[in-house]
Amino acid sequence: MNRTLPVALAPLSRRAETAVVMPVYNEATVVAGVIRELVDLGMVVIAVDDGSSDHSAEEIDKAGAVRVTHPINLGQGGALQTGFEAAQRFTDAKYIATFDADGQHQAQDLLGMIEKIKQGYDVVLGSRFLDGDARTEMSWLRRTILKVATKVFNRGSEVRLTDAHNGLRLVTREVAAKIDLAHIGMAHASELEQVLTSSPLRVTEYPVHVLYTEYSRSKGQPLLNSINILADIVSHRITTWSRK
Amino acid sequence: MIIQFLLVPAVVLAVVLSLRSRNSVRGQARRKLIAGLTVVAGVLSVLFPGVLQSLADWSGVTRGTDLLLYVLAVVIIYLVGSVSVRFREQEARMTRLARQVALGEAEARLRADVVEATVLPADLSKDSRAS
Repeated sequence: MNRTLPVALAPLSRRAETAVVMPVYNEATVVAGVIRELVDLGMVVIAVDDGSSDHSAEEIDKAGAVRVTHPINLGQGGALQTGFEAAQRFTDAKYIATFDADGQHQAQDLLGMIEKIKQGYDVVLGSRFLDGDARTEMSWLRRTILKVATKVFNRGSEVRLTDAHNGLRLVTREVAAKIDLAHIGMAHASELEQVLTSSPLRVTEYPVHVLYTEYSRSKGQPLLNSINILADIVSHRITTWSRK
Repeated sequence: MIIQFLLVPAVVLAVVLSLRSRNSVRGQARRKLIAGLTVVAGVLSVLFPGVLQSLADWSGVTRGTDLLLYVLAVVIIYLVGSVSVRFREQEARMTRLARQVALGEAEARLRADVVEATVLPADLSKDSRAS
């Protein structure tokens, strides 16, 4: 992979070991705090402003993240893909993480995941269910749907995951270079998991704590959206099945 | 009833084939062929209503108009599916375009920042030269 940066851009990398990709869509009230915490830990944050209509962009700039702004809204999958490409183009980070902008993830968990990936893994995925279920509070309906989804997506992949839809992930630069998300909406999560758990990669999970605040709950996707995701996946699979 | 053996596979085929139709010359030609055939069949069924009725009798449908309805339903399923595939491809293209715009704009802004930093006589410039 092209690891050398253009000379003029080299100072931007800030020689950070980890680049954090953060999709941002109308999160002006919280995003600066989330970014600052990560920047203070010595990471470079790539905030992908997904066509926000509030003043998220100013908040991102103030907090000291690298801002990439979509001219139109592309959805979370589109933002993640842009972030992965930006991280490779603008930084020389060895590890690339994804992190939610609404403050539901803990920087401490990410630090733990960085320690874990250094033990020789390619992919470390955050899981809410690894730790005996206890740490993350959620409704039984959400829990059940997530568990069923996890079972469905586990079929056919070699790695058994306990949590299919967690936004906290950490991959090596080499793995990030291989990611090419086609779904731009929310179905990207399962598509991403499919890429990340494909065979020669060494994949592991790390227990994380997700904080469902009033804010993140109001921003979170309604459960009905799982129908959209499922339909997207099915039609995408029919379209691409056994296609070269 | 022959119609049941014809319609069920036809619906399944319409869904699968349409979702797998590519936005290629072949796919476009197929869509146009189907549209053309629908028009021809429509005209023929107007000119010779008896043909439609005898086809209906053969396949076990009571009325010729019912048969027409079934065939139209299958055609619509196919067209909706293939249009949605086309729409998705269009969307993917637009996504790539927007992404390149975003990355290009960010790079230009970052370069401008670097130039500013190196021009400044502050210790910032030393830092950027060192790397």
